[in-house]
Amino acid sequence: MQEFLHGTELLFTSPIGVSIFVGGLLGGLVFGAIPGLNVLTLAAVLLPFTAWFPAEHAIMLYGVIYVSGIYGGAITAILFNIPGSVENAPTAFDGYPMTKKGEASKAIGYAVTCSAIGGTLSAILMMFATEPLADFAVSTFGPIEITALIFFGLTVVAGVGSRSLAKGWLSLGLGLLIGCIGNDPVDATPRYTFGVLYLSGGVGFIPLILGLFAVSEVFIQSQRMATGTHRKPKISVNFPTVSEFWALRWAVVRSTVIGWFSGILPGVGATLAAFLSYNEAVRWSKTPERFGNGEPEGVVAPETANNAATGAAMIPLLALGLPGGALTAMMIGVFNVHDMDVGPLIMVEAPDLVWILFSSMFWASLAILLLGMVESKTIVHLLRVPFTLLAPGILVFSTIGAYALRSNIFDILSMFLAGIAGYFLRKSDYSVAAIVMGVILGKIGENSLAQALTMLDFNYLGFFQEPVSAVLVVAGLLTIVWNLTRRLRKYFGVNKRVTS
Amino acid sequence: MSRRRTLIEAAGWLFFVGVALYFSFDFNEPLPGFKFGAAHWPHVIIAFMTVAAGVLIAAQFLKGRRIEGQADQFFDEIEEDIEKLKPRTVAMFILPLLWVFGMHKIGFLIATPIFIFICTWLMGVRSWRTLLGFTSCFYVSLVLIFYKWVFTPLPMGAGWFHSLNGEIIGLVQ
Repeated sequence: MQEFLHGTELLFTSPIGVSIFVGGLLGGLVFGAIPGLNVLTLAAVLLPFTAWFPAEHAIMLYGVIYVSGIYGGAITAILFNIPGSVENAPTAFDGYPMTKKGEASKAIGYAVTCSAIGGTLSAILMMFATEPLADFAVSTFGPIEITALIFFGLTVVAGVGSRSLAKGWLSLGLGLLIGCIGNDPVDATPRYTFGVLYLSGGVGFIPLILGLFAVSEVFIQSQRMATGTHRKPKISVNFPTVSEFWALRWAVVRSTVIGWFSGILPGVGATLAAFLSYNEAVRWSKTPERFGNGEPEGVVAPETANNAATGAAMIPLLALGLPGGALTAMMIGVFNVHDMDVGPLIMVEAPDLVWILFSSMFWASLAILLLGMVESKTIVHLLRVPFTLLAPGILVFSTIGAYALRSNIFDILSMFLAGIAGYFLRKSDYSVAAIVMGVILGKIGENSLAQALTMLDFNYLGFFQEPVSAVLVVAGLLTIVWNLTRRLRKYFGVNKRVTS
Repeated sequence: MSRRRTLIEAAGWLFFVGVALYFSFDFNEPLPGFKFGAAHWPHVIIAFMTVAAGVLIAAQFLKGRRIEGQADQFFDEIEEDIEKLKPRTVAMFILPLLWVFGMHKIGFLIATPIFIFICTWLMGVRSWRTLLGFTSCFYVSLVLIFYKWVFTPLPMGAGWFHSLNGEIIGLVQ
């Protein structure tokens, strides 16, 4: 506690420190919210300038940007179906349907509060448990367990966003297959590239998300306008009530735990945290069919988890020197710029630096709550802009977002093609959410599967010999059986009623 | 959704996985460090999708009598009203593809105002004042944000247009 207070004192007693804190907070929110301007862009641009800052301010800036950027991406995901970054993609699954139902303000309220709760709890846990938890997570979760974890996640995905189980499976399969395009993770053998250089890097994930969500939405609304069935979203500025939050308390706790453990695992981070947490919310729900149609828990789960992962990602970074993602890798760069190495000795050699980082992430999470409460009542008024004028805006911003990452015109082309495909898939009740989850989980899963199979001497039964992976694989198999029996029971129930 | 339509969809998926399987033999060799080879994972997915397409077909034949006004609650449940594509929507599909082509040739700076204008018109705005006013305001904001303040690299076009765009950007900055 003393160290935390000391870190807070260092943070707020210097006017420059406060300015950097506020600047990082606003910068992260803005860059996180606008597609094409993600926090990685901001972090990369700022990296050389950090050499001019004192080390504690430089590292604090990155902690604040990390926290606020992840929340910022939720705003556009909820309002316009444009996730600001990959971690916010599951937020759009239910956030945007809530907007269409006139509950945008509530969705933002849930997102901001749960981001703050997830981030704050994570920061507190980070302060108390950095070393022991890092040891546990890194020693327990190897490629075998990560593969089993992803298999478990994939079994749940099929139930998201489609009313037909077979179509959910097909959507998931399509996503997994799209994830195979490019060089394979073991030997960089080209797969489904047809000699096209662009495809050897794989289909860009950001263009795919923007196409399937934002662009296809513009096409769907355009068709509705042409047929006279377009309805303006209702606008309300109701913040969720305390009782509404209380009803979702277990979702918050569960998502914090999932976010935390995903954040600790090197190379996994906030993206898997958000997707797994969404899957678990569906699996634990008594009404899973409501997910994808504006279920508040579908916003709460990913937003809590992706923010909970931010604090947790600091654990392997600081304790072991292992970055969990691109932004934490840049943080290593910040340490290096100031002639420091991250690793177990950092807590001894530079405790002030570590505690200013912890306290800045804690205060940034709380500041998001304040900013977000104001924002949820003001930013929803953007929806008053007629869709006829929003549509070109969405297309132009999505285009910039798709292009800015790799400066490749084919990314824009693949985004629009994904948009056209997304239009037809959504119209035929296929789940674009399952496609997106298939791509992201499939890419991580194939990599760890290859490592796991090599470790298990290419014997799939080896997954049942390790206790953690055995539990996860069995849980996945049970999920498939449960999904099938649930549908069969409904089917026979309906037929029985017809016969009687 | 009609049984015929679903069966056509399932057949389409089976054709798709057949094509994916055919092309997977291009990279089916065992690898030095991984004896299953690069095609192992795609083959697992193809098998999974074949089962899923089979379930989609089987569900059509397993379906019992439908209750009037109530959806059948098995694998493929809800009647989906797929309305015919309107010409305006088809134009909305084509316009962005033309814009991408235009961006590649004449650059983002020149192609974008034309795109914004036509897209707004296609979305149903017919007032010239609104069309011109919105296009110019939105375009100026874009230029200020992405060229003046954030320096985002955007397509510059080819040949003579590349130099022209460079000069315009120089003026803006």
